[in-house]
Amino acid sequence: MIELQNIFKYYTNGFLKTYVLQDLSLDIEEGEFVSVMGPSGAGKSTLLHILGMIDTPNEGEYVFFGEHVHKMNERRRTEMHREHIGFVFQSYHLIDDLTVYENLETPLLYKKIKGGERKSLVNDMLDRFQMVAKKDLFPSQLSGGQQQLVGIARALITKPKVILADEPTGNLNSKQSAEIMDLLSKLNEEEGTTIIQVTHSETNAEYGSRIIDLLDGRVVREGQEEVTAG
Amino acid sequence: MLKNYIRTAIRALIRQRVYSAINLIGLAVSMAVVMLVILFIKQEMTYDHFHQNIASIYQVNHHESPDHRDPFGSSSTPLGLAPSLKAVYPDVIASSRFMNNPTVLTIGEESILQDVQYVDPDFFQMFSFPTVRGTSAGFDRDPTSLALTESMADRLFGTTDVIGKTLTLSIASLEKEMMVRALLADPPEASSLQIAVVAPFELVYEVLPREYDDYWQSIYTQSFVQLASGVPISTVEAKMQEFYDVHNFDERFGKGVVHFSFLPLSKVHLYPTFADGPLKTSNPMYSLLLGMIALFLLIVAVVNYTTLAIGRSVSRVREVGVRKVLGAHAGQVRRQFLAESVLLTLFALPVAVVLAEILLPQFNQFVHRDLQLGFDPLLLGLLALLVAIIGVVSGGYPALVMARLRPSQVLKGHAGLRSRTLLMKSLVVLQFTCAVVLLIGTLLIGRQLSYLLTTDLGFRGDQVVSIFLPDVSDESMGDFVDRFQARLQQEPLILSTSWSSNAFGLPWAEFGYFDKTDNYQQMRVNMVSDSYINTMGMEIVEGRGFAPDRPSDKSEAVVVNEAFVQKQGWDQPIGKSLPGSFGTHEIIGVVKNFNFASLHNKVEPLMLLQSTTNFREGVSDVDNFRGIPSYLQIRLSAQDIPVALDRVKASWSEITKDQAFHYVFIDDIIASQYEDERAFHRVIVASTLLTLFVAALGLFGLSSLIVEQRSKEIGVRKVLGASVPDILTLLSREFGILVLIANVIAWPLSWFAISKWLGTFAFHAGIQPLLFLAVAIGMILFTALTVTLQAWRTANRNPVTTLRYE
Repeated sequence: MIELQNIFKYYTNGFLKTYVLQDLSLDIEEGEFVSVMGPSGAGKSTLLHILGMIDTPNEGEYVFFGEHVHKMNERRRTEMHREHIGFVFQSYHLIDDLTVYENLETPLLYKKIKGGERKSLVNDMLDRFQMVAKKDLFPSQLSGGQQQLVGIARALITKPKVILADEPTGNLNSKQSAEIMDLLSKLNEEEGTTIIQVTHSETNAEYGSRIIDLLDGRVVREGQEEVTAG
Repeated sequence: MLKNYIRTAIRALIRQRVYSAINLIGLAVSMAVVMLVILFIKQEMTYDHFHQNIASIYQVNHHESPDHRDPFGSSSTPLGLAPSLKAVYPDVIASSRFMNNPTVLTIGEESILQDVQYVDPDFFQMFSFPTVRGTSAGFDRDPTSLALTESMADRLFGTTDVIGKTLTLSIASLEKEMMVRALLADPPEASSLQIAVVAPFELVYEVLPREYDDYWQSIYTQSFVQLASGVPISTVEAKMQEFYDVHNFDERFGKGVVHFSFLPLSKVHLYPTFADGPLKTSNPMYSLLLGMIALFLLIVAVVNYTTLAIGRSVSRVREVGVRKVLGAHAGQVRRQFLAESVLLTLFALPVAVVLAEILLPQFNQFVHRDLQLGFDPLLLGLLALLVAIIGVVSGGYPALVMARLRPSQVLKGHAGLRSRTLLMKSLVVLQFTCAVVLLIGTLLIGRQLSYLLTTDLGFRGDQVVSIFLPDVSDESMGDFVDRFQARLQQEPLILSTSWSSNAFGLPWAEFGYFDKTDNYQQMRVNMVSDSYINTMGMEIVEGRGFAPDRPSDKSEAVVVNEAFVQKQGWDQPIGKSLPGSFGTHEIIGVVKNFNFASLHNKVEPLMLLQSTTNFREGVSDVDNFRGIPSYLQIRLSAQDIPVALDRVKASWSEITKDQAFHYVFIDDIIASQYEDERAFHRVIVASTLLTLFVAALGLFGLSSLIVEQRSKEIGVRKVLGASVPDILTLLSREFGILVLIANVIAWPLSWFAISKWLGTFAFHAGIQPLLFLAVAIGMILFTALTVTLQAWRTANRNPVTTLRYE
């Protein structure tokens, strides 16, 4: 479903080109759980942004569900990620001025979903994440783990095909972190949602079915996790 | 979706309440001022609109363009014009003259001097001045009919139940018993024709001979005509040439020298070219200037919103990034931010209405109006439009910028917007340019006003009282004046007295004549008694003044002013006679130039004399001439002016047997000549203060944002050894430069505007370059102070706190 072919991303500064991604090619099938690893500055987040269509590569082709992303206009791209992609961030990125309920509702508003359906979708999500009691609280009134739960719920509410998670547990302690990772792998297994996560943590990376190691914008190692090895 | 926008907007406004308050106050203040100005301009534009026949009524203006002098015109017209037009043209279905004359009204023992309006019977059909009680129909047949407005009836009789009551009306030698036949509603404020006591025009013929109807070269009264509905004025205008030929105009003028123009009633108020009549007119320049002031204040408030919104955007960019990731289109982000600015403007609206209501009495006092802030669909519509425009203009740029943010950049933690871009700087410059233009304007107008009121006018009017003498017949007038003056001379507190035919503050008589080389010349003339020059404190620069003991001075002596001597190019004026072909006379003295009229006017050649008998021959035309003593000037002792004034009043009562006493100080006449300018000055002072206040609010907000954003830089600089004053200079310098640029841009603008305004004066204080410089320095200090107030805390903060999280 996701095909990247010879992707380059660079910044020019005077005569100097700084490459963030260099000649990167990648195929990801529907239902995979991919972990992208690598040191700081390896291009992990940029790769995620390109996959999420909020950034564009300088060179190379990106085919998403058979459609060439670089040929889409701004509006179509917005539609594509609105329909198919959910984002989860390390720093949660909830909207401070909105309550939990309203944060969950926002993507539905942008999808122009009618009031009644919106209400039931939000309430389902609140039930599923056991946050009914917290629906009127503002993000600043929640713990980090709770905020990330809202973040994931918000990403899931539009029923996306792909979840892109940028270090989803980077700001959490190990207990909260494990809960979030369990949740993601459950989504992947039970609902077949494709998950691509960026992570620093070997432990978290192992939740995935495939690990891609990036260094200086290139894939240095790509491998199916050997489930049988353990 | 809209609900979501509004919800977010309200929460954002609450969270950033200091900035919201700054914007709300600024927008509310400027909108309140805009509302007041709209009220004012609306009234100006709808003057006389209450007349049902407004579309078909025209005022006739008189123009002359003789070969020998510049063309001139007046709203006064010949006596016979209005009736003739109606008689000659079937298209003219009604016509009325309108003469406003101060008249003595006597009820029982009480008498007062009151403006009476003399009109033709058609007047009440043409104009919509409704009758409350009685009828105005009697004006046709009975020249003793009188109509009073309600407030006038109350003033004269203490009741509005006045139908059938009588009073005595005296003009010149005429004394007429009049009966009140109609009670009229008070005219609306927005009426050019202000009526109070309306009398039939027929009465005028008891004072002026009826033959004057055929004196087409003399002008006496305002004339109005009403055309049949649907008839364009051009049909009457086209036939006017024929009209001139039918009526035998002064043969000295060729055909086409005199002509008449027709001004629609709807334009009368804002057409002050001939503001010489009794009609209430005003200069449209003041509407324009008020509009500009309101616009400037609005610009300052709108720029506040824009710059503060961009400045604050740092805290909003993350939200925008998230929203875009959640699927928001650029358009949706734009709409969200527009909703925010429109919403804030909407919140400002009720505050503005309340403010306008609070400011209205003051504003009314400033502009001498009685404006009301009522429910008015036009005003509401304009306000809705205003809210939409302000909301979109102030929020437009921030919305565009926000919508263009790239989420990938923002979410990686790069703050998207910088608040020190060229655009921001330009906006701040724009804002300060507006403030500086107003400030310079205020100061220069203030200077001119104080110049007008303090400059040496060539006479001393501070202790001089002027009394209008009642119109009595010529013989008894001389007698009356002599008796009154003799009585006043017995009073020790009265220094001197003198009569004159023309008064200060009103146009003096003007004689036109042909000199010996057949060139046309004009001069101002006042017929005065021998003590005039002394009473008025004028200065003789050559020769002498009138001597009471020389009988020949009474008929032959002439005193001219310096302007006269200069015009003739004489070195030695004493003993000469005027260049025209007049009777025996001699120039005995030259008086220093003085301004009998306002300083809008130049000092024209002028002569003072005690009798015009020897000048009847040789004068080709005469304006504003009253051949009788009409005013008495009385110089009071400075010792005790109130007591001196009481003595004048007592003497008056004694001589006139208790006629009403009306007096005015010459100084008050002088001050009242600049009432428009003073009203405007009060308005511009208030607006400038408001503008500076709003600009200061904005500056305060913006500098606090910039100080916040630069707190790390300030910390680093302090670690590297910068002192507190170093830091303050650093922060103020940037704004200082912007303010300086704004000043440089504002200078030519205000210079241009002010020289236009000063151009309406023949005498002015001039424009001082130093003042411009002083304003610039003042503004820079003002800015530095505002920024320093903000920066002080940051500059004093221990750098460890600001750098800790690096």
